[in-house]
Amino acid sequence: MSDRPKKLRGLWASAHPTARHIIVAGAVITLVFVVLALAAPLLAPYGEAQFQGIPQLQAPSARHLFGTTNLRYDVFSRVIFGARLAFEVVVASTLVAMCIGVPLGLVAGYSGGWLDRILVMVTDAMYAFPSLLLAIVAAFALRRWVGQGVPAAALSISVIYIPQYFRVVRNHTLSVREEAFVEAARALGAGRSTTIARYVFPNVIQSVPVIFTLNAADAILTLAALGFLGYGVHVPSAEWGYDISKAISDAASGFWWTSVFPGLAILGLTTGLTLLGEGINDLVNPLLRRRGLRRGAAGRHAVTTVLPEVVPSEVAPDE
Amino acid sequence: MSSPSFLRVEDLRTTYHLSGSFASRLAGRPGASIAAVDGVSLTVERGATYGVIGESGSGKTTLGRSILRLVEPASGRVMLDGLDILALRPRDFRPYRRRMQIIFQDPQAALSPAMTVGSALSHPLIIHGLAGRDEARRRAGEMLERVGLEPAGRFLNAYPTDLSGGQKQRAVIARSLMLGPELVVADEPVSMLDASVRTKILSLLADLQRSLGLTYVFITHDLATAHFVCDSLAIMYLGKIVEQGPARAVYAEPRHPYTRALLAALPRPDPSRRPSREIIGGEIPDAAAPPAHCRFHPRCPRAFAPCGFEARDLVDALEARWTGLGEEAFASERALLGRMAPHGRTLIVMPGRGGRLEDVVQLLERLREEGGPAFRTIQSITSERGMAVVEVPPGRDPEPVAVEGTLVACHLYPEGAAGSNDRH
Amino acid sequence: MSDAERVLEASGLRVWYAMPGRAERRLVAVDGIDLVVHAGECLGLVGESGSGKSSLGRAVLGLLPEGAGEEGELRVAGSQTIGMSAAELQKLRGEKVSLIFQEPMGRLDPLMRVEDQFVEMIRAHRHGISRARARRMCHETLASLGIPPRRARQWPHEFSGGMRQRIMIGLGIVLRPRLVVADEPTTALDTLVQAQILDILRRLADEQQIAVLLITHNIGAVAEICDRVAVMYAAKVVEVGSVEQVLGAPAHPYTQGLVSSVIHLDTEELSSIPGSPPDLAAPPPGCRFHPRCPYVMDVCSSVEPPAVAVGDGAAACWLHVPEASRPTMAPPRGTPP
Repeated sequence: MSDRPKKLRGLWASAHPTARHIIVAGAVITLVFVVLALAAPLLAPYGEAQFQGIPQLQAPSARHLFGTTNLRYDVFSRVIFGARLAFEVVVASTLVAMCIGVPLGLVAGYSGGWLDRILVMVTDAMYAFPSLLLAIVAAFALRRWVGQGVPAAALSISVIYIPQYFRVVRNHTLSVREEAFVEAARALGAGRSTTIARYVFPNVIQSVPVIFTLNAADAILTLAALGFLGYGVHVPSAEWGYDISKAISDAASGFWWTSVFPGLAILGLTTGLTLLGEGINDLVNPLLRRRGLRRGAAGRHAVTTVLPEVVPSEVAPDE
Repeated sequence: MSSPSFLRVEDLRTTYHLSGSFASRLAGRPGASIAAVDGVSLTVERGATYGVIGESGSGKTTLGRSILRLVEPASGRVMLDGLDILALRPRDFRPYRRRMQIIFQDPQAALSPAMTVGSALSHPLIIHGLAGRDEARRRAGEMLERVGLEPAGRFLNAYPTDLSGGQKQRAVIARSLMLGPELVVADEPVSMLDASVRTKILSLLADLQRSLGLTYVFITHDLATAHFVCDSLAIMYLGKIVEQGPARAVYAEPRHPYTRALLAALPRPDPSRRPSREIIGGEIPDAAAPPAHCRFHPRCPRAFAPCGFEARDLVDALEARWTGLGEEAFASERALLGRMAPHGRTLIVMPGRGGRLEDVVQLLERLREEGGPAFRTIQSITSERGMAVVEVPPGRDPEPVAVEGTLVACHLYPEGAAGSNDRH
Repeated sequence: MSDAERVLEASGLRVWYAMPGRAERRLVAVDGIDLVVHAGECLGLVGESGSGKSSLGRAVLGLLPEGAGEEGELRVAGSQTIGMSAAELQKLRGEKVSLIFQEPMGRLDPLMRVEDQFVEMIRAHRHGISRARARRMCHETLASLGIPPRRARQWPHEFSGGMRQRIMIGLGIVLRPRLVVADEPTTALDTLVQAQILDILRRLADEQQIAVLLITHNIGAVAEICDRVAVMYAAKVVEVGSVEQVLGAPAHPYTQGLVSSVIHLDTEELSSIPGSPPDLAAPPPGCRFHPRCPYVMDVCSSVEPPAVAVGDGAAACWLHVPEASRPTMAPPRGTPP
């Protein structure tokens, strides 16, 4: 008799239609890109770096939906494969950021003291850095060890987001730490790591998914920016930002399709993820939720979606 | 009685440190430290229920946690069956946790919202390696039935939010019993529950005590519940015990003025008598700067010289007096007394604008005659260099004195004399 | 008492909230109740959590959350409040009616000095009043509540819990309202301070002829300061009458159980009411207390009892309806008559 599905359903039910529309729209858009990414080899009419048999700089046509580039790549295929790369990098980088940021946040929040202070200082410094610059520096530094390509890009980008997860988890941990059930765990004889793992962590984890989607959106942009600047991309992998950088000269000559379509892809996926993230945030964050309620005439019989403060347990019965 | 008492607390002190303001930290001055538990001693027999009564800031909650070492005391001893558990190293103490457990005030906050009731109850057994997963779960089910949560199957898989207040508290009680403790500290276990649920939980606690041979330390602010539940009790005020003894004796003949005030403040559910009772004014003082010596003296209707008045008490007493005076009387007195500077036991009063020193002295003399307990302790009023200087005598810490079976820490019951002529 | 003016008069009052996601279902927190409070009288509204008493308090002040609905008659100081606009309700609050909450710190603006909060409120309701006059009113009120006027310039956080509660009361009475609704005013306070606050509320009724509605689950507090008491159970008022009668000789089985379960110094044995309060979203048919009632009869489970005059009050219980007047049970369908 888990409470979680009920709570989610309850949240969905009480959400303002706008929030629901946003989530659905975001989810649909993101899903489209996910499908593209997963089924790239099947959906792309041509190879990622295929240039044989492809005319140069041809405008969009039936055979080349998005046209072709100066190097005889099919733009449509490049966009599709770019989606795959984007997801690979973004998933990898956010996972890395989570796996580093969350445990550090837990430990810092729970332990306090000098460990907390040092970690906060370090992550605040990272946070203060302009994120793109930080990624570039990281990519540059990592080039020596990891070379170019997906791992390099993922690691460079993850550096930006570690402080975010750290901060959110740490703050939540600080308040959960004071709860009676954590004290109860200690009274029961739980050691520190057990307390953190079984009592603190499960109650703190809820704050993570909300920032996850928004991070992902930001990561797409960062990846594109890195690619544009030539970092983190293993030529000739399809990367939207990289493709745009190569298409700069084309634009001046009137060849628009080599830059516009990758650009739209970036825009599309980022928008989809952002909508999804904002929608989930709206759903989960009660303050925003209340804003969405409508007011009926003069306080009477208004249509409502609000929980009263005193709701007897639905598991009712026996004391 | 040759065997040592089951639980014995000796001169326990637990302090909290306030971090102090930013400015003082910059200056290198450490913040104030508050003695939440300030030299508490008590004895609990096995199988008994010992009540710790107090309002907020009394230290009762900290005392409970200190006994369990959930917060580390600064000094003192806690003897469990003759062994000082405070002297143990944390690692060596851990097994002792199985013998002493706690029930919390807020059942909602005491259960992790992310754990099912079943996991919450099984986990203690797993932590101490007392049972495997399935065995632990089986025992959890048994305990649930024992506390009245039946059928166990339904509750094992439930999350705390699915339960009502009373059910949650039963789950909390069940969890605390999983390790088979002998001592249970119950911190306001029913104060957040409705009246009829309250009695059910109290009945449950009584049953469990009988069947499991438990010893309770029952922390509460409700004297009525304590009267019903406790065998002996201690009344705490601002970190110190002011009165303690067998419950029957304390209720029959409350001696300390604070105890009497608490009893008088109990709402009487029999509406046919509604006496005008003396309601004690004032509030619990700031624990960072507690009143000198007897901590209750600023609010005590029977305070006198040894209780420990200081100049700041005089200032507060003046304030209280002015709040009750009519407009004109207040205005004239206020105008007469200008700046007041309290220094320890000396209060310096400068005449207000247009007031003469002689009038100030005269007013002070009048207050000494007619004013409340604080003014009556004034030792001397002199004039010096255009200012009135008021002195109050030093006080002494009231020591607990045995009076017919109870211990009272109050100067009305001084050491030595069985009865005192100072009592009026 | 009955000659005194009726400051609060509710008749057939219903308050509901819609359930999230289930547009047709409603949670009725107050289900058709009648209530009267006279000037200078203190009425206690007693109930456990989930009884609907807080919703009633909010309805009286027009403070229902966005989207809740109310219907029936609700007159405060003569004006019908249901259907009033937000602006009118705002005017009503503070001037005619005040609310005292449970957690005073949360309601005081921590960024404004106490005196300024008074002055702002006074001037918002009494146009044209000077600051000096408003300050004087503030000081007078604070003094009457035991707070030295010189402390009026301090910030809320500099006061203790009991004093903040008094400031709240002060804000509630400075404009001389006709009705004060106190919703669990003493729950978060210490024992001695509780006694002080209850004393203040009683004096408001005695000295200033203010009508006081005390909403609480603390029966002892009601016994101390109230003249009359209404007992709520599952969104209904099950008994009402003088405090002596209802608490001394309760007529409704729920009240009897409730009063017996209160622990006081003379308690010899613990007693409680079996079962637990019903889910307001799906209350039992007939008398809502019938599943837990030791005197339950057939009629109780199918027909709701009317309010019957008992002593100086009333109780909604079939036990007090003469047997001859009770509705007989209709035979179940399918059985021969």
